[in-house]
Amino acid sequence: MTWVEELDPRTKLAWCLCLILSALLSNVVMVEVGILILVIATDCFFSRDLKSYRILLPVILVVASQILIIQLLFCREGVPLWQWGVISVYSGATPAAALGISRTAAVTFAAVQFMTRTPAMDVALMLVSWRIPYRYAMLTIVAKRFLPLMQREYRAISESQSIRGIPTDGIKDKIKSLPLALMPLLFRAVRRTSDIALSMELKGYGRSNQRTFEKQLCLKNREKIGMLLLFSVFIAANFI
Amino acid sequence: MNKKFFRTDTKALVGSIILGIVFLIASQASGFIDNLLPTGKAGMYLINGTVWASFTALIVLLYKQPAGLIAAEVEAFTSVFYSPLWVAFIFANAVGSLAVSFVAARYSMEKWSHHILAMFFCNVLGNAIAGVGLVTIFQLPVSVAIVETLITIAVAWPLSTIVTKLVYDSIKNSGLAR
Repeated sequence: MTWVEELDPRTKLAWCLCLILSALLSNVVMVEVGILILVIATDCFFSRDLKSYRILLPVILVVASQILIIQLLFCREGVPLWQWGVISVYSGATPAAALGISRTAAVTFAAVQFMTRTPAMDVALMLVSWRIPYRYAMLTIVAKRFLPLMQREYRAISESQSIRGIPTDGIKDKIKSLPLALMPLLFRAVRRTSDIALSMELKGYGRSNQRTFEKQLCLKNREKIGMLLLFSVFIAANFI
Repeated sequence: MNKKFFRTDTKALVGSIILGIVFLIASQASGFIDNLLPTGKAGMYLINGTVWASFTALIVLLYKQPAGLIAAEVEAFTSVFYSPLWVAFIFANAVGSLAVSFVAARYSMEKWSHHILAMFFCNVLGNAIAGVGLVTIFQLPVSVAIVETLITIAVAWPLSTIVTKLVYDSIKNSGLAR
């Protein structure tokens, strides 16, 4: 377990919220880029693992192209730079697109950092510490357990549909095949719910109002000081 | 009203998580298709919007609240990995789910008109919040975001109503959701 994973989840949440709110409140591209660099730098420094961001790159590239196209087509700020028929490109389009892309990336990377560096059990314990009944708090662990299982099930259904001869090459075929894969998954999920709920109840889930956990959350003094410093910097940077 | 609005048994809680994951997979798959379409390239996720509204309503109809909210938030928080609008989804999903709950608590949800009303509120409120996300996160001009939101509502409302009614009836008839 890395040093970051041993941190209290509330400290990580405070860090994540400060970064996201700063990204949303700022209108300066350099601040957004700074937040992005800060997220990557902290991950490089503390865990040296950037695998989780690799899957985000195609998403960010698609969104970046969308924002750029929309800003070039519809932004009407600044002076006209180029005109062709009804389409005109204004000088304000590129800065607006740059801000949109950098803000999107900063917000997404900060959230992914929190989600990948916080174990589901810690999230459940954090919710319990906020007086949320354990019957609800423990659902984060159920979600973490069943996400890969359901994804595997969806892939198996999609593959079995294509083996049966359902085409999935063009966009039209992809749209047509969507309900054919999703409906069996939905029915399986509803059926599986009954089985899982029954087995959980038989093991005593929800029988008593309290339950004990192997791990206990404890905010260390250095984490409290760190959070205080973090909030001070956040308020100074955004509101003063 | 209380019995029609709330359901807190283990089956409803587990169902919220499992269907929340199915909701996530469906949103991912439909978002991928939308990105291939010209409307998706312009920021209008029409198929994704339809799937979103249908699943939001289905989960509420099957398991009520707080299952609807839990499933909606599972989808919103996990969508970090495929949609930068996840911040807007946190609020949009919650509001959409609650809108369906209020209609479902008042009506039997056996007629088409009940579903039309529920999906109207779900689509309008949810897409309005997603529209705010388009302006604040994507930095889209307000006029473009309004037009995109209206087009998404116009397409997703009728389609999601049909999908929700047909799928909900088929699940009820199958006897899986007693």
